[in-house]
Amino acid sequence: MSQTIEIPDFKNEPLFDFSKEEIRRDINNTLEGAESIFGFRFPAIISGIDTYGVDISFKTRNPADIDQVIGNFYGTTEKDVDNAISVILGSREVSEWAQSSMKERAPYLKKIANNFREMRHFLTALVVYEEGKIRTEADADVCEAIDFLEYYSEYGPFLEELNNKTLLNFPGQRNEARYLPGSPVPIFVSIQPWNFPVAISVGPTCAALLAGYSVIYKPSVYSSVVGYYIAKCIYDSGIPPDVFHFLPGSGRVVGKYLIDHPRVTGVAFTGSTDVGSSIEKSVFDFNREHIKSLSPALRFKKKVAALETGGKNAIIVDSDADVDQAVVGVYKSSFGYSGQKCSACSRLIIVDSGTRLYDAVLSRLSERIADTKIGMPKDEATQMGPLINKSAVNNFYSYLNLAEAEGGRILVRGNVPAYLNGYFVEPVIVANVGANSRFAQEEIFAPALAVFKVSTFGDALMLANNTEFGLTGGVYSRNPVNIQMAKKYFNVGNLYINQKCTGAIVGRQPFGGFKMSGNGTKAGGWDYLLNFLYRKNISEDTMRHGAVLE
Amino acid sequence: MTENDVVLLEEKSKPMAESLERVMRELKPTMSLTIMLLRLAGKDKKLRSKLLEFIDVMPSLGGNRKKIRNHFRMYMDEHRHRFPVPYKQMLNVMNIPVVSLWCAGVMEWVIKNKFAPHFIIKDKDELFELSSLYSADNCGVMADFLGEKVLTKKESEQFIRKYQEAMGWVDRGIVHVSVKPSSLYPFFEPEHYSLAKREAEVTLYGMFVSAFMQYNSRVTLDAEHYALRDLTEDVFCQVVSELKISGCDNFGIAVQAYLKDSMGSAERFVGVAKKRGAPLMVRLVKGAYWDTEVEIANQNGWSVPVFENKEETDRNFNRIALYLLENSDYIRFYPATHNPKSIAFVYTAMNELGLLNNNEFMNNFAYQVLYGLGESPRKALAQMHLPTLVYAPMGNLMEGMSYFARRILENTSNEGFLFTLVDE
Repeated sequence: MSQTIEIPDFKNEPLFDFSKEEIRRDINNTLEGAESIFGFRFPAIISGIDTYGVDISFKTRNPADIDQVIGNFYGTTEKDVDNAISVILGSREVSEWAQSSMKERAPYLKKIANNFREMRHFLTALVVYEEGKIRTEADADVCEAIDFLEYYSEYGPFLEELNNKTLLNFPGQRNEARYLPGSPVPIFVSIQPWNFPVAISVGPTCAALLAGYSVIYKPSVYSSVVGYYIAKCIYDSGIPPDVFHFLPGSGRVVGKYLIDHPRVTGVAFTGSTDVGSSIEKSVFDFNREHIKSLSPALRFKKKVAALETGGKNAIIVDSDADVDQAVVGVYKSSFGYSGQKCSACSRLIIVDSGTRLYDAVLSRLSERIADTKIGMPKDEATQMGPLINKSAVNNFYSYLNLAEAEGGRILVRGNVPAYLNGYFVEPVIVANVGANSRFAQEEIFAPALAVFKVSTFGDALMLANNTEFGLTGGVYSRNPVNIQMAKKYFNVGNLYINQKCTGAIVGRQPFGGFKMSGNGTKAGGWDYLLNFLYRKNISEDTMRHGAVLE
Repeated sequence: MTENDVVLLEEKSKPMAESLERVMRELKPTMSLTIMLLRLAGKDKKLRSKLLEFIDVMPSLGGNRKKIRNHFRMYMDEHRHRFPVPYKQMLNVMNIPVVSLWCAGVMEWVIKNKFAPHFIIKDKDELFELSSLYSADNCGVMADFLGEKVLTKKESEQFIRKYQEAMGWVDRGIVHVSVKPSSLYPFFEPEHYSLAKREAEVTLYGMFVSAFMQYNSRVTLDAEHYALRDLTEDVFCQVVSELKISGCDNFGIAVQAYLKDSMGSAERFVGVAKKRGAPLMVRLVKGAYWDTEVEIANQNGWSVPVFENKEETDRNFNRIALYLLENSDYIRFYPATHNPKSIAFVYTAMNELGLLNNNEFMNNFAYQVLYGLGESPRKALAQMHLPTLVYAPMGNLMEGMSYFARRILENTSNEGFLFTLVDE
């Protein structure tokens, strides 16, 4: 007897089509209006209840205009974490949430998605101001969040169904599979970055909610107003309030305390490789040391970590590449959002066996960078905005100094208008740095591209793989043999051929890397949910003295 | 104008369309290697894509025979079985080392010297030759510059210099110049609308002023992808509205009839022309990016901006043509089509409106055809003593690649429906 199962019909949220006048007008209006809500105090939220502390401990600012405060925050403390966790531990809602099925939880994700749709313009504007993204990049961030919600809400129930329909059943024996979060009181901590403040926050947070966990969400201190509105959208779905808590605050204080907390059963983290590694280590130590000390009723298999960390991604331009296409692709991959994407291209490898391709690509790319208009992200005319904060700027210049000390030659520096009062830097291309130099090996997270010339495609692949990371990679080539070679040997989680290596789309390019770039999770693919789930199999004998019970 | 008028005129124009089709068939170019290849590729999609792939990569191989041979082998190997037997035998030759290199050289020569010249003009000398050759037929030439994508300001400036030079060719008989909107500014894209608009306006303004004041050349802004459509039209309308000089009818723009909302563009231009008090030129085309528009819309989840079948496009072409002819006081009309039905429709409409005997109108009217591909309609129209204008794309193979590929695509696909060379 064969059973059919329908593959969910998922469609990506369409991006704004900025060629349409009404869309441009709406966004411009929202951007103008949004400034009126800036500078207020924002709370932490525990079980849906606003919580204000005594002091304002941090502010978020517009990185393009450092005098503009976006929001004032009461930074949460260890005590707030303990409060939230004790609410979770004592809540009936939490255990009911954990015991329900993904099919029952999925409608909440759909409602959250709708809440995002209703706030789409506002959220886009907020990302423009708080993160310094230009409007197209901000729009993509919001749409990706909606995609995650729709995608996981479709594929969670699909997995349940798939599991049950593929089990063999016989008269007299009933077999059943359930996906469970692996603990009676499952708590996931979601610690998320500022660079995709909507999408990367919503993806893991809501995947964990769908999987039955209660979630404590801590946004970056640089994107906490965005984080606040995400929390609002989640609560407004009517989700049981005890299963979700919003605790803005410093990563060093509250973030670390959350990760190490003995009651926390899982950690989703996106950010630097250093922090990611330390989380992995602390989770490992915890599983080894502390698990025995838990009471049997609370014991669970082990604490898990879903990590997405850094990259030092390379694009190879083969000798027969379409130069127009390659220049545009590298430009977008390397300098989109000022290079502040884990997927960004920071190494360009050009295959040039005496055809002057290296010069052709670099002269066009350099001129394009020099022609790029750097300015306020809220302006439609701006093509590149600022970095996120002062330390990012310092970091950029220290790597630039390092590159020069390592023998690097700066081929081009973009133009930053003098009137700007933000964390702006000039995008650069640097040649002549060694393949093993720090400039070519470490993630800079800024518009800094190292370029290399090699004479064969094989050399290009070797160089591309010469990194501790393995997130994204790109190949511009029209040589089918080389493309096959890249498919086999380019050691990255996301390989892009003849297209830019950033902007992974949910359901099309499930995203996550190899090596030090993460621990194998693929955000925006159905198997991402398996990071949060344990499978429980139940087999029941339904035979009574030869009679089969129905 | 009502929909009924269009239908009636279509009906009326049928006999002429039929006779025109007969004449065009007689004038059809003799069988050539190019046509043979196009036919072969038209029958097999996979093969067509391999052929396109090969032609596309050719210029980047820098004439290196070994590379050309290797790429040819790589592209064709898995499709060997698709070829008829004699071709298959020919392909085997590519495995013999010395012979294969020689073959690669021949292939490059054929593409460069036989295939490409069907579609593209090499340089301005060839253009001048063409112009003097055609002048006997009451046929003009519109200079169009092919080129790689404009990615930098420097590249944009190079293009502008070419346009400026071409405007000076009026006394060589080349009155019309076509300008690509995306060449006006390296970031001519809707994402940075106000910036792109401002920058392109400044450039276009300068160009239009010198076209009128200095050269009396006629400059038409071309139509590219749908994403650039509104931007292009906004730039154009702004600039021509500022240049309110009486009698100045030197400026034009293209309308793509395959766009569902293209009638709106036509109406807009009539409105602008009325306001500025001097006529505008409108070049009515069917549209050359059909496949791309459908793909982009589907990938982004946007509604498809183009009609999805040929009949609707043809009908819309006629609709807009009639509308523009009815507004001939404001619009200099240049219908660009090789389709005998569309040609006949325009003729019939002009006849109905009494425009054929209107000298003022006819002096500013021409059917447009593409260089090379439009020889049979051009000759047929010349026999009828109707004015024609040949759109002549100029550049080397590398520069012409995207144009070249588009034309191959159109002439080998069932869906691509603008100009057909192998009209069967």
